[in-house]
Amino acid sequence: MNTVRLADIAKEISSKNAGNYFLTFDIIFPDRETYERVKRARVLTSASFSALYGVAESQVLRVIEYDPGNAIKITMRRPRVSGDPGESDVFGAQQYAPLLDVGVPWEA
Amino acid sequence: MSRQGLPGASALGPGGSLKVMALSAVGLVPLDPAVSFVAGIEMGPQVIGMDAGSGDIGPYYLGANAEYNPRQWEKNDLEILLTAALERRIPLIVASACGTGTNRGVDEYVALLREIASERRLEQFRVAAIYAELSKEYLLDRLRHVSIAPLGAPMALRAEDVQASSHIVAMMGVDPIVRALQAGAQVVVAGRAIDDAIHAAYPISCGIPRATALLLGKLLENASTAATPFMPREALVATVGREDIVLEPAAPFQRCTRTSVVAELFYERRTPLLQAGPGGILNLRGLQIEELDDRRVRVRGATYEPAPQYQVKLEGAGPVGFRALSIVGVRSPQMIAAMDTVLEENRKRVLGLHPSHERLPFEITYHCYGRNAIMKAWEPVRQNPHELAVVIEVLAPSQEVANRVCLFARRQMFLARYVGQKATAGSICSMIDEVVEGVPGYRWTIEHLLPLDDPCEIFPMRMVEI
Repeated sequence: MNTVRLADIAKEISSKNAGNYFLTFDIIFPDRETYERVKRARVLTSASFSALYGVAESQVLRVIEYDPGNAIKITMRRPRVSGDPGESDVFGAQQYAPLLDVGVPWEA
Repeated sequence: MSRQGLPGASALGPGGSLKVMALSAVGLVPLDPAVSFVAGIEMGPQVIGMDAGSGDIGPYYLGANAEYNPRQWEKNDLEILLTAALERRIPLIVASACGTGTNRGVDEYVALLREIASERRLEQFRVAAIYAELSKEYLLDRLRHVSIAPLGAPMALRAEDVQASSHIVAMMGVDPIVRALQAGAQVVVAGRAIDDAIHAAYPISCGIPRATALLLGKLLENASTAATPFMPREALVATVGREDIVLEPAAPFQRCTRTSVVAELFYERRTPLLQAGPGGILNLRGLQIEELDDRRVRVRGATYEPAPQYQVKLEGAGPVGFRALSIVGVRSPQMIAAMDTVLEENRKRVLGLHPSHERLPFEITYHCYGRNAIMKAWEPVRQNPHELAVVIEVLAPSQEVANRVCLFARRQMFLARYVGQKATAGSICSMIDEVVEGVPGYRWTIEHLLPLDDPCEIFPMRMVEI
């Protein structure tokens, strides 16, 4: 089976603060079929996400598969509260990059 | 100009609908009136709303009560909005004044409106200034009587969290803004407010059901973020009826699509299904999003569930020290390969500074740009770059100590020894040699929910004739 990168099939992939204590990752697909394939492949789950970011699964708060929008939302606690000493990304806007390379099994 | 009448059901247009125009001041650049603003005004909105603030900008601006944007940018934006609103005789609502919505921010916006009115020789108009800042004494007193539950913060509010704060604001819901409109305000300058309230208040004062108005507020809260391509500074216009909302971007080069609307529902939220606010929860589970044509989307299907207790979100920030930065460049492949050891050694030397030099506690962070400065422990890429910038950041109880410790760390980097070293004339390069003083450091101290008996009780309003 072939594998495609998430970046090649998703329309939007981004990260952002959801309040000062949480980070949220939004992955939006262009159509129902692509979205369903990703859902079936189980590549965006709290287990896969925690492995990708090297965090405990308990730190991943919630994975929402949002059918009306063909989109998946993953929310987790921030490693530090936004702006605390040592902060490197106050807005949390640059934390999505590892998602771009997530492999999705893809049959033609 | 004659004072406009009180809003009410009579403000609703044909078919019982209202046109609402939204702008979002993300503060990246001042508004350009030539682009979508004029187009938006041409679409005939009956109210203009602008969210001037955000909690996303970090704790510094609230903690230091500092302006997020240069005064000149704020004035530019307010002048464009004010003249358009007065010309059209439609209300203007600006909230979270000056970025953080402190009392200083509200007063600053009122002062800017005065300046603009006098320079442009505008006729008299009525401004409602609504304040949202809380004193420590007030909150400490409330704490003696009620428990103040955490929202994002890990535990219920403690007196020490209040004491550690330099500024605290509460986020008002729609009610204080509705009250201002009903009192005949042509311009509302609100302190900290929840984003949805800004665009929901006028429709609610005209009789649009709360569920639809709050859904409108949610959809418009980041203005053109709900449109594509992502250009957050443009205007978005919505036509809101009793049950449904039609979104249309003002900029001819933007479109609203199902995806762009979903992106907005997701934006900066933990869930797109429920939107909790003061007084109730907007339930979005049954939302219907329908593309009407290639740039307009109809949204409907939200329901509103009143909460048993009215609560407002509190935001507080307080100081953590003074900051100094130093930028260090490294091109040696051997030193880059040995960077973990180099930094460990550096930290050891800095922390081991003789007590006769530094008695006060300080904190040091190394940000390795080119390696893992942005994602730190989360960074999956492990390969070494050909060049590296290390930003050394020191936080200390005084600027003098921060500067001195940072300089010491930098000098130690210059003298760093590592395996495979060939160069003997200095281990780092300097873009500049000096230590850079940052603004003082702040942290978020409060993100909690304060119960209120009356939605307006902590949001005093002052009417000003300009």
